[in-house]
Order: sequence, then C-alpha cells, then structure tokens
Amino acid sequence: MRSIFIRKTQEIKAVDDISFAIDQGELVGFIGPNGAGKTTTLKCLSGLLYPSTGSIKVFGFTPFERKKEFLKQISLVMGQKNQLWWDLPAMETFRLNKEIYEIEEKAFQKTLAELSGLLEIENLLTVPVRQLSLGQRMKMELVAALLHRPKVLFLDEPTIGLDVVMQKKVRDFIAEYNRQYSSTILLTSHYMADVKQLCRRLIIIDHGRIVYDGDFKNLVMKYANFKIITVLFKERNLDKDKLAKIGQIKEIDLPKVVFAVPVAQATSIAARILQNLPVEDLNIEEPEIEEVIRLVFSKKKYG
Amino acid sequence: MFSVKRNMGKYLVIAKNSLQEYFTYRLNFILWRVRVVISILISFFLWQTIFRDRSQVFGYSQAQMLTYIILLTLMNGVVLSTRVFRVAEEINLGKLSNILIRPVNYFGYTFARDISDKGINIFFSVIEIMLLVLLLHPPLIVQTQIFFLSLFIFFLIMAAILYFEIGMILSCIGFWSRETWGPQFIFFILVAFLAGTYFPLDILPYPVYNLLQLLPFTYLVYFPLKIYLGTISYQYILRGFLILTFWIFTLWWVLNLLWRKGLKLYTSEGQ
Repeated sequence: MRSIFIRKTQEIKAVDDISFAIDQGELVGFIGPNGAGKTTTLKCLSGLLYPSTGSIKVFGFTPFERKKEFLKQISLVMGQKNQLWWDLPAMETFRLNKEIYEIEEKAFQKTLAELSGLLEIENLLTVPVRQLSLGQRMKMELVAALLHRPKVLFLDEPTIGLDVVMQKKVRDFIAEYNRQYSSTILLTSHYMADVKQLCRRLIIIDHGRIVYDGDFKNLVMKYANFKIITVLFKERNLDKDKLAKIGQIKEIDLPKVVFAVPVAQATSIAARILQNLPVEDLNIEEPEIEEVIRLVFSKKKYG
Repeated sequence: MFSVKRNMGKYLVIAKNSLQEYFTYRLNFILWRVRVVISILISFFLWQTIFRDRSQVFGYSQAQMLTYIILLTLMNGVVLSTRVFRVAEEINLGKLSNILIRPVNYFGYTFARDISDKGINIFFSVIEIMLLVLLLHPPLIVQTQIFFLSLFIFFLIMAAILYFEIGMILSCIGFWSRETWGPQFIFFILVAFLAGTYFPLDILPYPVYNLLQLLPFTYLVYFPLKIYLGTISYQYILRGFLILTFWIFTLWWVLNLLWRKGLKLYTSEGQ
C-alpha cells in the first residue's frame, strides 16, 4: 500500500475538465475572482462535493468515495468555518482527532508539541474555543488539521479576517510547515501577500477554467512587463505635458507622480528624472500583484 | 474489525466530549428535566384522580397505570433523548463537512453523541423516579421475572435504534430543504401521541389500536413498557418482535438510500 502513496507526482483533476498535476511538497496558490470556483474545487478535491459530471482523482483515489486511506492523508482547513468543538478546549478536539486518525500517543505528543511550539499556543490548549480570538482559533484549526501529518493540505482562505500581524504569523507557519514536512499544500486566498510570500507556483481560475498555471515570476513578466516609478517632487508647479513625455502616468497628485514604464527602460528613465527635475524622493517597484491579476483578467489573453 | 479497541476509543471520546459540552449548558438541561418531570406529574395526578372511585380503567389497575406513567421518564431517557435532530441543521449550515472530511463513520459519530445524551438523561430519570416514589408512595408494579426484565431491556435497545433511524431519516430533509423544523415538529407531536407517551395505546378503540401496531411508533414506548408490566402474551411479543425487526431493517435501508442520495446534493455551504 505504502508505495502507492509515496509517489513523486500526484495527478489531480478538477472541475470543468481542467486538470493539473502537483508534485509532492509543492505549495501552490489558487486564485481567482469571487465565485470562480476556487472553494468548489477544493471541496471536490477533498471529497465533500459530488461532481455532477466527469471524474476526479487525487493520488489514485476518487475523493467522493471518501475511503479511509484517502481521508487519512488529506486535510481541509476553511478560514471561515470552525472545525473545533466550540464549547470545549481545543485540546479535546485534538484528542478526538488522535483517535479518529489513529495516531500513536507518542507521535501525537511529538507533533502537538512541535506545532504548538511553532504557533506559540502552548498555554491556550485548555481554554474553551469560544473564548479564543479569531487568530488564536485559526492557529488551533491548523493544529487540528495537521496532527495526522496529512500528505495533502487544502487551505481555503486561511488568513481571512485576521489582522496583519496574525496574517504574517499564519503565513510564516504555513511556509515553515511546508518546508519541514514537505507536504503538498493547495492554498486559496484573497490576500495577495499570502500568495506572493508562499507560492512559487500559481494557478489562476476563472469560471471554472484554468487561465494561468505556472511560475509566479513568469506571470509578472508575461502580463506586467513594466515597473512602477513613484516620484515625489520638491514643487507642485510642474508641466503635466512635460511629465507625460517621460513615461505613462498612472497617477498624478502633485507633488506625487506615479509612472508605469517598460522594465528595460526603468533605470534610464529614473536617471533622467533625477537629472532634469527637482526630485525629493524616487522609488522603483514591481507592480502590485493585485494589479497583475487584474491585468490577467482584463486582457483575457488566457493561455 | 481489525481494531475494535481503536474504534471504541474514537466513539468513547466523542461521547465524552458531548457530555462535557453538556455541562456548559447546565441550566438548559435542568430546565429540560423539569419539563419532563412536570409532564409526568400531570399524567400521574390525572390518572390518580380517575382511579379514585374505581379499581380498573380500560383493563388497567391503578398500580399498572401509575407504573406506566412513572416509567415514562425512563423511556424518555433511554429512547427519546437524542440529538439526532441537530443533524438537519448541521447539513444546512455545512457543519457536516467537518465529519465527512475525517475517516469516521457519520452514523457512528452521531450515535456516540446520542449515547452520552441518553446516559445523562437516564441518570437523572432514575433519580427522579426514586424521588417520585419516595414522595408520592404510589402503588407500583415491580417486575421480578428475569424473562420479562431481560426482554424489556432488549426492546429498549431496539426502540432506541428505531428512534435513531427515524430521527436521521427526518434530518435527511436537510439535504433537500432548508425548512426542516416544521416536519420535525409535527413528528414530535405525532410520536408523543402514537408511541404512547400520554397513555397506554390499548385504551384506544380496537381498530385504531390494531392499526397502530403495524406502525413503528408503537414500539418506541408503549411496547417495551407493556413487556415490563408483563401483561402481554408470548404470541403478541413475537408478533411485535417481527414487526419491529421489519421496521428496523426497512428504515435502515431507507436511511442509507436517502443519505447516499443526499450527499450527492450536499453543497457544504453556509457560514
């Protein structure tokens, strides 16, 4: 049996005849507009939904059959749903999961110690879940979902509703977990920061179709072959026509001007601005990932 | 079957957690017990009054009737205490996903939750029965024959299984409709009447009583109590056993069918 599970590549077919293969240990970001089918895809992959047509295979299993051997190797965390027993300390849910997943006591203690150490929640294990903050609860959800060391982890909006600090912590944890245990992670998020920090590979879906599947960097090069130069001038009285000749103006609110310039010319244009104009401050940046995604959807030059 | 102990562990922890959850809502529980006791007291005093100037009513002696009424609280604990009706809500709110995603049998999970529910209700009903007996000194029938007592326990367990199936089937409505409370409420009232939680069913007109015996509800409360009282022929017990077995198997089949069909429609929505 074992050899079936430790294969290098896992073939995962999803709705609407889209299919993608994910390597063991890969961390893949799954993004798309609201209603594109991200959550639906995750639910199908984890066996909650019955596909009305077609078939789904996740490392050889048909998820909807919910075979015990399959369920023991996956986990699904939904940022908006609570899997813990609301009125009891999280520890009680962990204990139950230990029994359900048939985890040995030793392994259970070890994993629990590691995970709660990483997430800094050792002292919260005996507090009833309803008394926890959203962030603390999310950490507990993650622990509950990871106790059985799933091979594949589906994360649906794991950082939703969290403050920036907590978002970062959860993000760091996911990255660390993926690195340490080399488990396969499929993650959806609205926060581009999540995707940017965590995922080298990106799958963008829209209307149940894959519109992009590939390297994060390639996406930026393909759809956003420009850089953003933000300039703060020393004075407000500048000729707008003259500024427009320097490069495409994205935003103007003197003394601040934002240019979008081709990557190749970014440095020379910056130099020219510094030489010829009274500059207080100048910044060259990559375009925001949100903008890149917007471009992907607006151009509709899929593929 | 390879790891019975393991599986037991699973369901034990579920039962233990449910029990612990119960203590969070102590007041709710106590009020629920008060409600049960009050309804028993009402029936009790009503029948006591009826028996004041006669020794037999509908073929029941006062002791038989009052035993029936008092044992109803035990029946409430063993058979009718269940949280299976929450399943409909869990389907509608998408909470079912939490269980579906794990390698655990959902029916087993629900039944384990029910065990703790029943356990705590039985515990309280026994205390209540002792108090009622001590305070009211009613004439009672104490069944001493092992045969009837063991049959009584056997049919109690069967009744609990039957009620579980009926409750699960009604909860399956949740897959098709968001409005599950209405049908369930009507069902509660029907059960209260048809199962004999107000009075023994054989005081009804014979044709009605005869018809009721073909329905599953009779076997939830009336039938086991009748066996406890011992006023029942072997032939009647055998017939009851066959009808009850028929219902348990049929409803199990229906439940599995509905569940399979329902899961295909399940959208795991909510929250």
